[in-house]
Amino acid sequence: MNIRTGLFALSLLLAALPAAAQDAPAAAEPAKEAPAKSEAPAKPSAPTYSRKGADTCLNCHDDNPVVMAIFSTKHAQPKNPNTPFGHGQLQCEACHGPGGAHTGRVPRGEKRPPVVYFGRNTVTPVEQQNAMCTTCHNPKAGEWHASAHRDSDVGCADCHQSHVARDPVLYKATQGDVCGTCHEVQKQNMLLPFAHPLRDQQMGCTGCHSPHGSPTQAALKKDTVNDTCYTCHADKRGPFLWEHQPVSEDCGLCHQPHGSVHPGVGHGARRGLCELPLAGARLEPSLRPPADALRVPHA
Amino acid sequence: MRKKIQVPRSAALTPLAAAIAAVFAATPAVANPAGVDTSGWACEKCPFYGEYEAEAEAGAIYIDEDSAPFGRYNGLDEKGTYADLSARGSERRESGTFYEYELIDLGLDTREGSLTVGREGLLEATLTYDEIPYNAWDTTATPYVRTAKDTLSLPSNWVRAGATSGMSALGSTIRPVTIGTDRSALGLGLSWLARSNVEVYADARREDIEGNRRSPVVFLGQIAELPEPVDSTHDQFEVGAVYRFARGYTRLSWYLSKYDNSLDGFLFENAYLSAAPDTVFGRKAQAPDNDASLLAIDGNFLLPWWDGVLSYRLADGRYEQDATLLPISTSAALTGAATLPRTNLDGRVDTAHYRANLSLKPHSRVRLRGGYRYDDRDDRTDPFTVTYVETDSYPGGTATAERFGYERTRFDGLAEGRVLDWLFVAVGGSDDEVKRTNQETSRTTETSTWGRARLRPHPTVEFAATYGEARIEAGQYVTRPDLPPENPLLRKYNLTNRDRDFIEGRLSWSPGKVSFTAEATVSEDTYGKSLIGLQSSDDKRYAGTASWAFHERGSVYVTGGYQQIESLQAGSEGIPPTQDWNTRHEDEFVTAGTGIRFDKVLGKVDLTLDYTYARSEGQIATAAVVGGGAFPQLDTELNSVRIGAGYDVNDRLRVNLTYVFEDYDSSDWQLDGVEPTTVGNLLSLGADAYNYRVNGLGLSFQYRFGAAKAPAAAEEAEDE
Repeated sequence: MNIRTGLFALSLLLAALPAAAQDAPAAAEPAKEAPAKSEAPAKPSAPTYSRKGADTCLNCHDDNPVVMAIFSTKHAQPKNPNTPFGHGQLQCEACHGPGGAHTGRVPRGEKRPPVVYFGRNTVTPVEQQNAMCTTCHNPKAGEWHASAHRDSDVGCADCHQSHVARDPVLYKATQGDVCGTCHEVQKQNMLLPFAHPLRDQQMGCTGCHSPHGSPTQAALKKDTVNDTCYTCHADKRGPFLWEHQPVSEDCGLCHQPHGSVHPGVGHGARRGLCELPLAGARLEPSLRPPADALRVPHA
Repeated sequence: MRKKIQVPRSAALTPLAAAIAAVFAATPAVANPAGVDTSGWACEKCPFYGEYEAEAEAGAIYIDEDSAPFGRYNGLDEKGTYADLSARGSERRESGTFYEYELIDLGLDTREGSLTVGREGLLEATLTYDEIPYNAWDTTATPYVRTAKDTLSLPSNWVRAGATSGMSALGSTIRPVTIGTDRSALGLGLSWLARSNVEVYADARREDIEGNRRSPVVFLGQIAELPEPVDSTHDQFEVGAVYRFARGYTRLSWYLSKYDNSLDGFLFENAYLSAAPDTVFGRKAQAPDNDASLLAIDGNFLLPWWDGVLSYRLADGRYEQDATLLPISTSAALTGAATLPRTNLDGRVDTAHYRANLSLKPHSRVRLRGGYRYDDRDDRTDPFTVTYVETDSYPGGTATAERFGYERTRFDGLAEGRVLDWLFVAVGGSDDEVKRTNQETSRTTETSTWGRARLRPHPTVEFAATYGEARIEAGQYVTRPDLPPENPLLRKYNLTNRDRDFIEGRLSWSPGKVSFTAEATVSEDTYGKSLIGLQSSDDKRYAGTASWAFHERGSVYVTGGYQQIESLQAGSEGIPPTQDWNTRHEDEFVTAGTGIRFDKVLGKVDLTLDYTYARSEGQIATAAVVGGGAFPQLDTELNSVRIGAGYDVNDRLRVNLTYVFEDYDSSDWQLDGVEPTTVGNLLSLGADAYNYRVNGLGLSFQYRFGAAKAPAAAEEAEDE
């Protein structure tokens, strides 16, 4: 297949796109655009920001430990120009959106207009929440738009806690619990007799998966199943003198990486198939039962 | 050999070079792109810089029983007392410099540590160290002794025999041996924000694995299990740069991996009477040293219309293996005049991975997504034909090492519409074509289609159900002329037609203090063109969790799951071949658990209690012309209780008490009753199926230095 020739065209297209993007009138204003991407009702006028930024917000919220905990996180580093609290940045409103209406005078009897809130059961649509995060974190979520999580309308805040110094999903000891909130089957699989050491908190889901998006099978970190496995099992990579065809194509043809009833995380449905190709095959020694239990028909 | 246009490597990389040059010439991103004048935003109320914060924990853990499976990955494999030592701390200064460190489980084989230092917005360096044990067996025993780095010998008084029953010196020479490995990893990461829109990073990681594994070795039909030595190193290195521009980013990266096995193979002494001349020692090869590299460029563009995003990745890689080949046999007599055609395999595999994905939102209620993916594994190793010796026992003839490759092209797409405010309907599909070389089927095409409905009738309720089918069409199946010959009626399951129907469902409901989530996936496969081989396979998985916050500081949960994997396989042993026997495999897995958590009881005590139950069964039933019946069942059952209590003595000191009880029972006919001499032609290690009952008790003191409020307090506040 002359695929590489086609890649020339693809690469030229990719190379041309940044220039096209620069020419777009709104190209330099992703933050302004982010709220507009939401499905919230259109506002009559452009949103305004607060008068004094975080100082305005903290007039009311400085007694809330959840709010104040942001100052122990990477989001609040004034010396880093790329964080919300970096020099010249928008502070609280970098994530929560323009707070002019929220912090202004509210007529008696009316509700204070909301800012952008994060979490599953908030008034802010997930898409709008995520747009705020990807304004800065686009490189970390480069393929989010094509991910299974995006297809299921998962929000960044469904997994991440931005106001804590130690976001549980970033640590292998606590990551499994976070992922298991939705991935119930995989959570139960941690208890299988033969499984990767997730239950022992020696490995996290992100050891293999890229939850921010990857169009590979099951959102794997690497380009293929096997390349993912080789990260820890490089002895299986080869190329070998004597290769076994399925091994070089997909480890998952014989193994269940989320755990199995059988040693070596062998795939339950395909166990025993190795012996079938040979006419008059016998069970390999490691599968041979004791003599008194030897009741296989061909042994 | 496959036919394809071979583009010189330099030409293949040209697209990457063109893309790199173009994107790095683009305009950088703009700080505070909203253009707001923040010069008056002094942030005077922002407590940016706290004092030094640290937390240290010291205590002890007592385990009341030796058990490798209990301590398989947690390092608590032996009866006794372990030190429980952990610490972490950080400091951020007004100058912008900072450091963080974390030390975990210093007294266990799971110890790990990390140290990060840097300057905010400029430079960050992280050093990590991590150990993971794998304690596989402690019920094993062997007469073999490692007399050299790559040699396992038998005692000088060993008595060889034709069967294990005649090995009369076994009783006096056999010694316990534990089976397992220790994996340790040292890592260094650097990240440098060269400009506000350019980040350069480098990561290096060295991983060492040492120990042994349970391994069979063979002299024709005579087998011995050995503690095969393991000693290897894996180095990985990646360097890259990320460039952000106004509407996207580009990343260029280069990855290198080097696997170094200190053992090419190992020699083992023959425990049996030699059937062939000059076969006192046999040799088993180990994984050869090998390298891999990957050059990649990836990124995305936020398109100026329809909220479009286009992402891409172009990656060219290579695997290489050039380890010196082992001799044809340990037996000079059996090797005779045979020689290796070359001293090294000079193996090389080129890989390519290209993908692009586009998503668009042409209407506020419509979303479209499409993707393309191409994978190529091109084995360019020269053919290798050799005269071989079968298991160091007899001349085996001549064989050619086949080279395998594949080319995979996949298109997929999705269209989702918000039909009603609370109803999303999506349809999707994919076309996945795999072309293979030197295999029974040269091409398979999997076509899948599916539909999904997602309902959010209320902000607290979401239900999604997906139904789909995936069909694999395979071309003509031509049995390979390999030796020994394959059964011509066999169809390898990954190379033949397969029909799959699948259905998935997910429900989440969280009305206030109660939450409930459930998930179900069911798939059924049939292999309609396979007379011999896998006939059908069903996979059913259900799981769910319910929790109730019965108090502002207390919650309780119940969780459980059920899984069943069932398959039917057909075989043949007759001549001429016919479908004359079959086996039904069935695995079941049941889990259940419950727990309670109550914080700040009497304002000082946090309590947790968790109970976990897991049971698995593996059954094989055979039906045959002669014999048949069921194999003994594989069973495992786990009962686990964990109780934790933490008492806040004051704002800084906390006392933690932990109790663990775990009871594990299993039966495995492959192991139970198989002592070293039970089987005449198998000198086994005598491993027992896993069974243990372990109590563990931990007491530790946790002390916090520095800032007045513990970070954990804020986390709890957020949880609430």
